[in-house]
Amino acid sequence: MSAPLEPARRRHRPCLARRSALGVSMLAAGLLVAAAAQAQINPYFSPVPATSATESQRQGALFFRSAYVEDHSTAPLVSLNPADPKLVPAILDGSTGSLTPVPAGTIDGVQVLRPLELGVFNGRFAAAKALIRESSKEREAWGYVDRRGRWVIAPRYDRAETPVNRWAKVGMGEARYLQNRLILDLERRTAVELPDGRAPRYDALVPLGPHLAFSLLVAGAKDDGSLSKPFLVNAMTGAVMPLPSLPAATRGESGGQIILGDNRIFDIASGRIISTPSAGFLPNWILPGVAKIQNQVDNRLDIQIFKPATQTVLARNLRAAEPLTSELFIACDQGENAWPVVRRGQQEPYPFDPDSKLRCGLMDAEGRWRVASRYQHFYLTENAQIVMRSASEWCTLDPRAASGPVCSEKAPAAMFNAGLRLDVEGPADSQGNSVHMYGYRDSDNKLVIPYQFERASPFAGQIARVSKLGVQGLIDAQGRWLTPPPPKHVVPLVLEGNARSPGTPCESCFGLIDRAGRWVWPPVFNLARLVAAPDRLWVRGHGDNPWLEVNASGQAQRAPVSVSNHEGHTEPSVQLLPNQIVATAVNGVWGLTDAQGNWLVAPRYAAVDVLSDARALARTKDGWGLIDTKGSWLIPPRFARFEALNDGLTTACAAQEGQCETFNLDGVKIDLPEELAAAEPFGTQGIAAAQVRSSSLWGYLDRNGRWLIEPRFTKAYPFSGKFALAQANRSEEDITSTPQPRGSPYLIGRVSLWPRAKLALVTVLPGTTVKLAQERDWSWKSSSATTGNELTGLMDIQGQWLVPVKSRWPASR
Amino acid sequence: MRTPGSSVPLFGARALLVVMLLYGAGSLHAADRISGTPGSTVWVHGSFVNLRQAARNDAPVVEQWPTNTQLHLVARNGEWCEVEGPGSRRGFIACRLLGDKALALADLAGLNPNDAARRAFWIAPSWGRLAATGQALTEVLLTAGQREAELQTNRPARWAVPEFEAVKARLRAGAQLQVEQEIDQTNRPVSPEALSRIPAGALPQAVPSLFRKRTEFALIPSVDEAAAMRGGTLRLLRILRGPEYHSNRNDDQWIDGTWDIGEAEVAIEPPAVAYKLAASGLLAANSINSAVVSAGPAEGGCGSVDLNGRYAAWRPRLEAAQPGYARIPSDQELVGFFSVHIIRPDAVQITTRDFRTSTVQADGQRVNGKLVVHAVDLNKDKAPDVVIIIGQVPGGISPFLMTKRIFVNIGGTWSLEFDVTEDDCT
Repeated sequence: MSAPLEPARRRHRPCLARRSALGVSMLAAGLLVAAAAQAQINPYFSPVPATSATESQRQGALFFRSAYVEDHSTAPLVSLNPADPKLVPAILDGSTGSLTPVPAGTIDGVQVLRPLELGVFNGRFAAAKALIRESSKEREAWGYVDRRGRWVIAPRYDRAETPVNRWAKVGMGEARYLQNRLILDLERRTAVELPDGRAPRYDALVPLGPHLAFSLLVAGAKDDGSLSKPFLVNAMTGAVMPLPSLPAATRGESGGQIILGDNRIFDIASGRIISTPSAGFLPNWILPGVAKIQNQVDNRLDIQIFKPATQTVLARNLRAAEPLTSELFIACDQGENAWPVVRRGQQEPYPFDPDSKLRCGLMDAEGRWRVASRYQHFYLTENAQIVMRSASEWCTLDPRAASGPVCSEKAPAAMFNAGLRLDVEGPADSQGNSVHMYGYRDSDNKLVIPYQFERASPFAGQIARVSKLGVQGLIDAQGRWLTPPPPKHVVPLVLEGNARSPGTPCESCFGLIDRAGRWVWPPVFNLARLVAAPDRLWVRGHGDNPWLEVNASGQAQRAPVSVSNHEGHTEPSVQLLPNQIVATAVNGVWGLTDAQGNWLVAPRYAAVDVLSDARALARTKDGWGLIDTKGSWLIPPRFARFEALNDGLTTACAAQEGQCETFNLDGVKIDLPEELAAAEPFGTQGIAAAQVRSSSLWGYLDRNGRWLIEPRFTKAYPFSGKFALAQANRSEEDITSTPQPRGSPYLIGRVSLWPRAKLALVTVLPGTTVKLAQERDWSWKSSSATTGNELTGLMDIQGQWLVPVKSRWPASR
Repeated sequence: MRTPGSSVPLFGARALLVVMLLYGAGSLHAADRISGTPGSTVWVHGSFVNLRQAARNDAPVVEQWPTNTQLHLVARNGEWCEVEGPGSRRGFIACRLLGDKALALADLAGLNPNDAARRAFWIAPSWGRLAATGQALTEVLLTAGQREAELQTNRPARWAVPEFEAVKARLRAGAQLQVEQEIDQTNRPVSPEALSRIPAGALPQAVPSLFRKRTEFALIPSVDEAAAMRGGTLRLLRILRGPEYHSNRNDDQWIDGTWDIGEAEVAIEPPAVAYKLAASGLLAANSINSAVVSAGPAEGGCGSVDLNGRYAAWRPRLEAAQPGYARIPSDQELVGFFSVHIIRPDAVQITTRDFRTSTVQADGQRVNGKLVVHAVDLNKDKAPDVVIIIGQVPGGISPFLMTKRIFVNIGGTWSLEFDVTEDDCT
């Protein structure tokens, strides 16, 4: 297992290469022991190297109906619900690898026949569903289990929500009957009552306190359909007290005070409103018991740091302030209308602006500068190190140590995992929009995995979570995809994007045809555009799929600009065509001039409409005709109506609704089998897309009026080189036989990476596991509609699929 | 749900009382502005001040006088001035509401908009300032609850207010409008940014010709501007209707008009002359003797942009075609305008050029379009006085949007007087 890791370590960390061969061997041996230890600790999984796993092994890895990782916990538990109904839900301890099944048996008089489902842990408890026997009848019901898998509330409720600290909301019967809602105290294993003894009818249950040791809940009770005053439930004592108004749920409780939705601060102990500094607004907790309050002074933001408990202002005249840890916050005293970049854990970095005027440092709970103000970017790493970046240096601060920051010109070790640091580049496109792309650098600042991902995480162990061209997945430290990479060809790429994305499939989709009218790329694109760059076009699927720029061989990259039919409309640059003849009138009498205004044909017509550099339509009392630049009639004026079809053809009609004839611009009549309604220019290739009036379908004509490709498209676009965009007429097309490039063996819906649980969760979309691998023609675009539930696989952070060993997994009775 | 006797209407009544007290005082002046001795002339600086029987705030009001009423200062006693005014009325006014000289429009800068509007009418009476006074009274007199109730019941609730009645009476007597006071004289030379949107070669060279000042030409004037073009008088003839409730498909609701006027008819003496021009060079001229005027919010929303422009808040009521001029159907109208000059019908020459254009869109696609340039010479000196450029730009939703820009040659410099692109609506 260690063998694939060694080259990467040598490449990315040259210092290791200078160690003795004995040292390398010891390191490899250590890794082997660690991996073996995990396998021994947990006999329920068989690790399979992701890069060498066979198809069946991969499918075997996709074993769970659902899996949830406890968030914000230093020793997170993973709730696993196997897809095999014979196996029971179990709790995986991510840090030790131990597995605890949810037990059956008799709990508080309830006979639990079979555990069925385990919800996410909140640090203490998780909801769990089981098949129970009650009064000789079997039914499914919800209860709660603790971290050791023991039932603390027997399963007897029809609904159960994720608990908040030790509190949980449950319900009986139909969800719409409010009287059946209860709040349970999971620790005391009782239901909570309101002070007046009424039946508790809680409408909302929101965690307000950030700390589990002092957690508060708000319960807004509803009577007669109207919202009554909200209540606080003290998580420590169970005491209930009224609140003057609804709290600002996202800003919560801190230091015994609550920020209310109307920006007032409420003190829980005294039940009073605390006065904030005058004219301040938008208070937000920045440390426990310390709030920032924003003021606008002469169009300049003045931020004050306020301690409600003592009603003192700790700092003034800050330009920005952001929370960072429980003891330090970021304070900025220079720079207008700019905010520091703050990234935690797996959050992506943001491009560094060396010209930024922003200067920030770190302040403590007394308003004292702990780190002087000179930085713009702040990172709080998974191991709680603070990394700060300015234009000239990177600095690392251990917030638990008394020492100051350690600085260097190079990125510090805290930013590296697997020898790699996540980096970002943000090139601006022609519209000034920044398109962030992520890649990875080694400790020598060498870009070892190029900028190519729209989203990416720092490495955890030997894997990182990335997204490229809309495809989520996991890569190893060599940049290899451990999950299916984005298909190389645009057709399967867009089809897979459509299968992943909610949205309406296109009716008359865009595709690419050759000069024989054959589909080179089948019509699978919702939108497509030709662009100025040669041999390039933009396509996109439906829903939230991105625009892709595609070259002639079908290779796609993200389109460099955000294009939309409805957004960012700016008036484009308009230019007069050079060397043109100009229809010119004096008091409504028309003639022809050159671009400089010199008369070519003196004004004599009722109207003139220029068709090309040498031809114009002119109207006299007898009707419309075609003239050249000397005013000679190429088509005598006898038509009621002329319609310029394109740069080479025009249609002339004897009456408004009468018979029409088609002419070229030399005045020669063209015999067409059907009347045309519209045409695109002939272009340099002498081929024009043209629309037939009777069927409204488009085909391609030559200059002699012969169909090179018969009309059968909803819309056809000009040829560029050998190919042209066309929109299929769905009812007419039979293109299922068109061979297509192969796509991915299965489609990933989402990927999450949990460094503390040492796991990644990979969720595969329903119905796509096998189907995509088997069917290769374009008809698999409908595969997302197939039946089936999502399946989730586990991968450890060494890049191994964890395949359940069914023979060892606890089975239900 | 509000119920009779609940606290909300009571609060509303209190608020109204406070506002009425302020309204009676009619001013927010902080400092005393008179230095004159008894016997000198002073002017009212408040908007509609109370003349009281005695030098007390609670003394009976014997008269109310508007801004710039000229008074004779009889005596001064602390904060109170004894004065004698029109009709030999004598009484007491708070000295802080008086000044040593008449107020000018420029003196109102710095006042809050409602206070400024209520004084401005009396300094320079016009329909626009009457409308602004009514709007200010709406702001001051109606509580938020009353305004909400108007929308809920679809029924404006307005009453006769002495100050506004006095305003109406003043305009019924006729107001002489001054060009300099009514028409913005600031030139608007075409900015480089606006010029960059016009294809090179489309806008001809400007040389000094018919119009020397901006006050000589108006494209979409207010009724005051149209009347002022010839130094005319505007007179309120009658109130046609009161304010009305409106709503539209976007769920916008509003009450039109200004205080208790929805629409009114005003006379313009001498009549304003509105010119209309067709691309064929035909010129129409209509004398407008009276107009229907309105005020307040109008329906907006996507699609409300009018490429032909329009009189925002008035329309002719009594008009007559002038002899010797053409009649132009509305669909052939190229541009309408007012001018201090008399434009002769045989002096107009329009040169129209129909250019083909090429446009590169944001996504790099090139599309062809058209640009029509009408150069209008109004005095046959071969120098264009007005240029109208009508073009197409690709839309976001619509394939193409029409644009119309009108440039006026003011003393040899192009002034961009109209620049509108159709709304891009679904």
